[in-house]
Amino acid sequence: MKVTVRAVGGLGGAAWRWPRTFDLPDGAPLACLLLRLDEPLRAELAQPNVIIVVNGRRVDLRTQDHLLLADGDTVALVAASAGG
Amino acid sequence: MGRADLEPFLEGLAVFGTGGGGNPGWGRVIMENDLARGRTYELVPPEEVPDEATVVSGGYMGSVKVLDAMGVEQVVEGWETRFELEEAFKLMTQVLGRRPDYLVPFELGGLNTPVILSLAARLGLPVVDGDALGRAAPETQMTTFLAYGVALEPMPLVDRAGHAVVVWASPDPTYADELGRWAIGRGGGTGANNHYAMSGRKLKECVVPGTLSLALDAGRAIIEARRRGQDPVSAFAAFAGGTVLMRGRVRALVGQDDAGHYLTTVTIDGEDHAGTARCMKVVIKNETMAAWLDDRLVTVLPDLVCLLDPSTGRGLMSVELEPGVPVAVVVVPCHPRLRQAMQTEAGSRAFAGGRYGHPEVTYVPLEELLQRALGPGGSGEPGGGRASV
Repeated sequence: MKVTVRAVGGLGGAAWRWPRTFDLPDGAPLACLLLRLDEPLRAELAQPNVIIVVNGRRVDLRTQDHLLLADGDTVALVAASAGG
Repeated sequence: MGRADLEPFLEGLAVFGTGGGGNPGWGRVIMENDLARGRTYELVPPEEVPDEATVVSGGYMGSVKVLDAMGVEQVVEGWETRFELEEAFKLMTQVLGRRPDYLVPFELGGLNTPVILSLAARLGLPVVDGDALGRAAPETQMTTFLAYGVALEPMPLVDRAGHAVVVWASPDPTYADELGRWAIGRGGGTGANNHYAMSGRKLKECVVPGTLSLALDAGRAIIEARRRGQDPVSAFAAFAGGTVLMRGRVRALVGQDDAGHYLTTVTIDGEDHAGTARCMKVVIKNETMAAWLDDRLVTVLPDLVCLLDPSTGRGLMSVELEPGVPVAVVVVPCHPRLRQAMQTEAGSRAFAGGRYGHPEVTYVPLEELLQRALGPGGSGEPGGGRASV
C-alpha cells in the first residue's frame, strides 16, 4: 500500500522534500511508517511540539503500534508553533 | 507601569489573549525579572508619538511546549546573556539604517506583550499604548498594520540556535509568517522577529489605541469582582462591552490538520443566562477564530471569543481545554479600526476564514450575527459599559 507523508513547520529538512510516498505492507501500523523516516526527522518526532495527524485527525504517538494504516492514507508531521 | 500593575495587567492579557498570545505565567516571570533589575516600562499614548518617529513591532514565534520544556526561569535568565528579540531589533536597525524610536506590540498576550515591554526597557525606549489587534492572533499578517498599508517586511528573525534571516520583501503577506515558522522549526523551535516598521504618522492611522491600558483595567475589573464576591465573568463582559453567551463544560475536542496547520474544534455544552441548553463550537488555531452557537455562526475573527474560567474569570489558554473543563464564553466586538481593516482587500485576505480551515466563513460583525442567531433581545447575558475592544 502507498502512504503519503508531509512534514510541516521545518521538520525533516528542506521543504522541497515533501510530500513523499512510502510503500508499506498492507495493514502496517503507524510505527512501521515512522521507522522508515530518515534522521533527523525521527528524532524530531520526540520534540514536545510535534503533532502527528493521520487523515486530518491528530493521533497519539503512543498508539503507533496499534494504529493500522490503509492504502491512500496521508500522514502529516506538524511542528506546532504560536506567536508571530 | 509598576509592580502593583503586574497582576491585573497579566489578568487582562490572559483574557484578551483569546486562548493564546502566550502563557501569562511567562509574562509574570519576564516582568518580575525586569522589575527586580530596576528596568522601567514607559507607556506612551499613540497621539504623543511624533509623526517623524520610527516605530517597529516584534515578538516571539515558536512552540510554547518547547519553551515550557526548557523552563521559564532558565529561559528568562538566559535572555540576560542572549535575547533573540534584541538581536532582531539590532538587525532591524541595520536594515532600516536608523534606530527605531518606539516599540509597539502587535498583539495582546501573556508572552508577546511583556517581551516588547522588556525589550523597550532594556533599550530605554517607550512603548506605544496600543497594538494591532486588541487580542492575539495566530499569524503575523493578521494585523491592522498590514490592512492600513504598512509592510510586514523587512522582517529580521533570529532563532534560538543563532540563525538570522531577513525576509526583505514579499508580494504575499503570508510569506514572512510561513517562512518564519519553517526557519524556527529548523532553529530550535523558537525565535524572535521585528516587523512593521512605520512612521509615527502612520502608526496613528493604524494602531488599535489604548489596548495595554485596556488590558490593565480589564484585569482590575476581574480582580475587583473576585474580591467583592461578585461574578468576575459578568464583570469582564460589562467592562469590555461583551456578551456572556453561555457557561458550561468542554464536551469534546477534535483536532485536524488543514493544509499544514493544526486546528482544534472545541464543543462546549452548557446554558445561557435564561437556563436554555446551548451547544457551542469554537474553532481554535492557537487562539479562538470563530464560534457557532447551536450550529449558527455567532462570532468571526477579529471579533473576540474569550474563554474564561466561570468561577474566577481567569482567561483560559486553549491548551488548557480538555473534556470536562468548565468554561464561560464571552464574545466581544473588536475595535472599529479592525472592522475598517476588514473592508480592505489586504485585511480581508489576512484574516480570511481559509486561514483557519473555514474558507466559507466571511467576516460579519458580531452584533449582526448575534441578532441573526438569537433574534432581537435574545443576545445573551448583556455586558454594556465600555466601548468595543
